[in-house]
Amino acid sequence: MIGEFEELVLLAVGVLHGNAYGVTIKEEIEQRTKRDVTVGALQVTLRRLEKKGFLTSKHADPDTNRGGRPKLYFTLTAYGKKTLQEALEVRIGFWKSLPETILKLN
Amino acid sequence: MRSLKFLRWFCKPEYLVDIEGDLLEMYEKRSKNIGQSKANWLLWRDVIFLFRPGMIRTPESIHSNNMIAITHHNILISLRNFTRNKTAFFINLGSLTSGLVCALLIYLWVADEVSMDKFHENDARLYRVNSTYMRPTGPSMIEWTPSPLAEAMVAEFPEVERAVSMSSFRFTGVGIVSYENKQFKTEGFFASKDFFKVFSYPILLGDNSGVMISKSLAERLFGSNDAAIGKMVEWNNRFWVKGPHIISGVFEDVPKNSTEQFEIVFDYKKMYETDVHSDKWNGGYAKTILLLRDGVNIDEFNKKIAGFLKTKEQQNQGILSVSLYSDKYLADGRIYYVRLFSLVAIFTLAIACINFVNLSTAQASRKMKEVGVKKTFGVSRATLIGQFLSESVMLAMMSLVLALLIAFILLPDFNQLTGKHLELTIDSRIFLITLMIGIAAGVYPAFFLSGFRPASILKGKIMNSSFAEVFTRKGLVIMQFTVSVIFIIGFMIINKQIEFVQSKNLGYDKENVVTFSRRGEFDWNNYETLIREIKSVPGVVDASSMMGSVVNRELSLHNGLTWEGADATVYQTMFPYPPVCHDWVETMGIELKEGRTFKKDLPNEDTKMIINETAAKMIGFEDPIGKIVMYGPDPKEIIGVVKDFKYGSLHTAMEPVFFEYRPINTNIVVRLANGSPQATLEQLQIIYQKFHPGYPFEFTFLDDDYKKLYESDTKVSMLSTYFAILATLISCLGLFGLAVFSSEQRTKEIGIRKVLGATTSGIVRLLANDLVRPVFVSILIAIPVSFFAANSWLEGFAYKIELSWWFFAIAGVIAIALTWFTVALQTVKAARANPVSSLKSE
Repeated sequence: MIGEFEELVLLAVGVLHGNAYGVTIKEEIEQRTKRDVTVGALQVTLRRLEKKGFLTSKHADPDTNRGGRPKLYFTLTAYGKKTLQEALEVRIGFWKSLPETILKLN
Repeated sequence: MRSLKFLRWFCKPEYLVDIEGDLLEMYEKRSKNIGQSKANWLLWRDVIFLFRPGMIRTPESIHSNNMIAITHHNILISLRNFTRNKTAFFINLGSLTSGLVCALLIYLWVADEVSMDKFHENDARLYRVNSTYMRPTGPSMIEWTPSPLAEAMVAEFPEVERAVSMSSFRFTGVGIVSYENKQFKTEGFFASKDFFKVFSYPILLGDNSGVMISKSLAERLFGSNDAAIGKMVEWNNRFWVKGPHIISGVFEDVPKNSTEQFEIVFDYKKMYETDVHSDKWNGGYAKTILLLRDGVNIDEFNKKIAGFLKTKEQQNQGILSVSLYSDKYLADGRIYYVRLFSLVAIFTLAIACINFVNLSTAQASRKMKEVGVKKTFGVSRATLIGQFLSESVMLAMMSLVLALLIAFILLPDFNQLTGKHLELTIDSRIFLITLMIGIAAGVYPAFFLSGFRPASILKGKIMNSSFAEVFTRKGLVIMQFTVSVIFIIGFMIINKQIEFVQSKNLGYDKENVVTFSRRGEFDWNNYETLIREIKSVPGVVDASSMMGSVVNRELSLHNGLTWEGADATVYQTMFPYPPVCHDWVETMGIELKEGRTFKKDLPNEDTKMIINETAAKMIGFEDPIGKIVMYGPDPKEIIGVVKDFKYGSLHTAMEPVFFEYRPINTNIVVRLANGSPQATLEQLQIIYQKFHPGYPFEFTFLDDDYKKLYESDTKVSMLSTYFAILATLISCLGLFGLAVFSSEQRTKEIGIRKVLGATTSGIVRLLANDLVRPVFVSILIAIPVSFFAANSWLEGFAYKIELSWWFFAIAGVIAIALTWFTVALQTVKAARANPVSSLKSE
């Protein structure tokens, strides 16, 4: 099982498909969730997900716009995709067994 | 940017590059959209949120240098050296430990001595008033002043904020406090009202309107502080003091580092009722202590008060002066011992350090290869110095642990010897001092060993001991033995002097004399009955009484006297003027030269006087018997001259003494017959208790009292004996180490010599001479030094031994004999070894 924020980060990396690095991931999540994401929380999570094998990373060539620092691009691994799939299924399972009356009340 | 600098400092290096890039990209975007300062602020926020586990690198990588590795290596090498050279290690450990034990004990003692009386809050403004009088032996300063002085000084000198009178010796000291049927021996005195305001003895309960007692006395007498208030006690020290004494307050127990030790304090005014003379301007009944205002110039104040006594009482010739209250303790000769023993501690440590220096440099050849290889690999000299220093510091720290242990074990005995209550507290200073000793011992060997040239060592050139090196080593041995020989001579002279003083013919017979004093509210008129009963006891030879004691002349009267033909200044001199009873001269065994002694049945004996030979000489009459000496307005007729005897301690010269007749005194002296006094003393106890019901029979033998006079000298003599032995022992240990080493180094030489026909004794002489010669030199240096030191110490005695040559000769012989013994122990073994075994290897 992965945590909620971890799931969001994985999804963002998937959405950005090939353009996923620190700044874009942060913006993607902030835009979609309307939540503030700190660099610290994001970076720690990214490294953790990489260590667990959900993500791989690759340095791009040095970029002149960033003080000569290269971007670190993240991509989903097969294991990461599978984990996302499982997380989705768990949710769908929940939704399916939810009594209709509760939804109506809402 | 400062924020990024911070990030670079803490962030894991493998994450740093891209995070920094992300931050910069965001910064650029933000500064375009919302302005630079806000972007800056947001960058800080981001960086601070990055400061979290997972991002922060591990500490090892923060300081990546090899200090730890070097320290580890140094410790390892030192430990290996210790196990490889066990002899040297144990000699160094032993000598440093003994040196440290001695230094620790002395440090505790000195720290305690120096802290005496310093605890008073007003310490810097507390002054003692002294008065100086002329004595036949010269001017003499005493701390006893008239009782009204304190109040008068507060009233007449604006510099004085408060003043206190405390009773002088007559009403101070050990006494017996009793409540109902409980009796305790304790110390106390009389003090005027401001006593607890001037001194910092905190009051726990009540006030000093009546009698004050200490917490522990309150507990012993009444069980608790509260129960003490309002109780009535009786007090009796030299005099029975008329009550009622009602307890009005309790004070905290007096700290150990106070000169005044007391558990009970009475109102000063009570003394006036007991002794009608005590409130006069011409007595010495009070110690007067002043609390001066801030910023008083002491020299000017002393000039101002010098003649103050005379303005109050024409007869009083005392010159007043003040001195800092807390200075008196050390100034009473103790500062001399504090300095002496501090020096002893330093020298003992120095001797121990020298052992380390000598053994390390002598073994240089063993470390040469190590130094050579290390230097070739680029180890700097500083690192090598660090290595050798860490060895000596480690050794010093090991010794400290041992020394603390030994000092802890010895402390109770040391306390008994010095009469102190020292406690071993481990503070940072002790470690700092040990560290410094480690460095002091190691610094010369460290520079010496690290200075080798790697090329010549590794080429196999055997470094011959250079002239300078040998010279240093011998010089250090000479220093060690000079100090040891000085210690030996010193302790011999001190012991001889004290033995001399204690066996000196005093002019009276101090053996078999018992003294005790009368206590309680006794009947003065039954004195004669008491003496008669004492005399009837079998085993009693004679009995009499005097004021004070023959071993303490301060307890008697001193008065100005004059006579026909005396020059005018004589009257200003205070002569010892002890009042004695009839039979006193006979009881004390003092020899009568001419005339007669006081007789019980003759009338007008109180107008007569007996003098000693020195007094007779001073007066100068050809036939003194029947001549008149004026005691104030009263003429006194000389009826007898006794041979000189020692009144007081032998620190002071013989002085003229005048005896007055006083038929009734409280201090009884009894001469017993030779032999076992036990039965006689039991009889005396029965008589004493008949006359003084409820009071214990407490007596002292005169020769014990006499010994007490020299207690501090005896202590010094014992301590100096121990230190002399210790210092010599440490020096010999070092020499033994050198002997072991030099015989090891010369194994081959000895082998060859033996093969070629050298005798064992010849080889022993060869090896030993090198080591014994410096000891000869040190004896030559030590003799004049100790001669001058001994002379200056003996100055303090009026009766002293002659410094004869054989003291020095004996010390020299002891030193040489010890050296020979130490060296022979090792060299004989080396010389007797089979040359085959030493030559066949290699």
